[in-house]
Amino acid sequence: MKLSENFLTQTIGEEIYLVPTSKAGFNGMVRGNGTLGIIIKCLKKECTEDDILAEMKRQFEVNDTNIAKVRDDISRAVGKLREIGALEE
Amino acid sequence: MDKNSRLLIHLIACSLNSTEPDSAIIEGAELDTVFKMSVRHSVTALCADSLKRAGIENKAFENGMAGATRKEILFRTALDEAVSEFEKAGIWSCPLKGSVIRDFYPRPDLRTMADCDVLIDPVYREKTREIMERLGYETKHFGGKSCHDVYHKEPVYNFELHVGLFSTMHREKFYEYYKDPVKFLRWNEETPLRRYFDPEDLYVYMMAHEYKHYALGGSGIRSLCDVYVFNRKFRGTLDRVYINQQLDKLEIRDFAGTNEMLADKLFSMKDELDEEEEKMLEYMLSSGTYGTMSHRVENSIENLGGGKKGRRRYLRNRIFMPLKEVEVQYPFYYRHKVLLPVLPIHRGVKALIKRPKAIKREIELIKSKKDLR
Repeated sequence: MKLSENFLTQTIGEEIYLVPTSKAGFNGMVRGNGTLGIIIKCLKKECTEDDILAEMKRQFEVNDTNIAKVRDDISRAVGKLREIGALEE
Repeated sequence: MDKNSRLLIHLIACSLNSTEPDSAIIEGAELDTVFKMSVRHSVTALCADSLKRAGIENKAFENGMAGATRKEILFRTALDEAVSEFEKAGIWSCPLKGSVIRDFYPRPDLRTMADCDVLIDPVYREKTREIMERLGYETKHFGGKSCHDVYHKEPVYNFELHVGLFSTMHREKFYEYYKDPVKFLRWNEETPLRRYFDPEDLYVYMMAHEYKHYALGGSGIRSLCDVYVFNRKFRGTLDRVYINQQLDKLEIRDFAGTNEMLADKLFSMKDELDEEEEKMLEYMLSSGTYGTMSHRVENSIENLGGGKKGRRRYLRNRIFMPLKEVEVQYPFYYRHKVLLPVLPIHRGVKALIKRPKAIKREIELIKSKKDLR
């Protein structure tokens, strides 16, 4: 999966924003923190949820106690992006 | 200053300085009125930012902020795309005004832009039109003696591609000074087609551009924000001798001086304003970003000699447009001067169909200015 080119991203301050172009069919804006920023950065090229998890492990302390939560957070974020049509599968 | 204006200024200052607003100033002000003022002055995002910092929820301001953020992201991408395409085609370009100044703000989306202004190599004017149309833009205005071409693409993209910084319609000193803008442009060896102004020349242009609006219909608070953030960014590094020399050439040194002091005092929330600064602030508060018809009529009459003579000349110029304005706005009639007697009828009919209320308002304003000087 990969971020659709019908969505533009920009980091402003400490937040990442995802904005649809007129071709996107979604009328809104997504705003998130650094974690979403990492997910979106991964999605700028073809990747899987496992690739995103690997990147999270590189950037944060992910261990046996929180890995399930991190995986879950990634799935939920990817799910939401999929819902608004922001992903190309 | 009334309490709503005071809150407007206070919210802007807090946002520019990333500080928390004083709740005593917010209390008792009418947020609906302040919202409308913020829209007129294109400072809604700044106010929204401060209200959020104060923990105050207001849908109108929040939507305004979201709209500004969205526009910033769309515009930045669009500008990068256009400049890249120009570069591939061997055309130099230089972003102007908001496209540059927004990066001096605490966040770029705090600086609202209605359009992207870019100076381009005039030799390639037709080629840039081809590029913009290939990128999906509709050409709204092109060519003639106008110093810029206008392009639009849904949902919000507006570009003004400038082939000059001032036209013959503007003050002669400004037109002459900026006749060859290339001499002011700089570039890096790695990216020779991506041009920019040195901070000093950027500042001089900013002042000249603001004066152009201030002297006619008026200019609003946002231009003071630009001056404030610019000076904060470049404080202590500017060649003030050079700047003052250029401002003297343009005969706007006094204006620039008062403007700069006003911006500094207002947004650093320190000293009291002096009489000149108060007058300038009052005028700007009453103007809005793009000025008002009332100011335009008043200033135009004044520039034409004031009093009855000024009003007569103003009316004459409105009906029988001066040739240098015809050259820019109606190039067809300029090229076919035998048809000039028809132009007032053409303009009159067009105005009555498209802007009857504006015509009525202008006539009322002309009548009301009979006591000027």
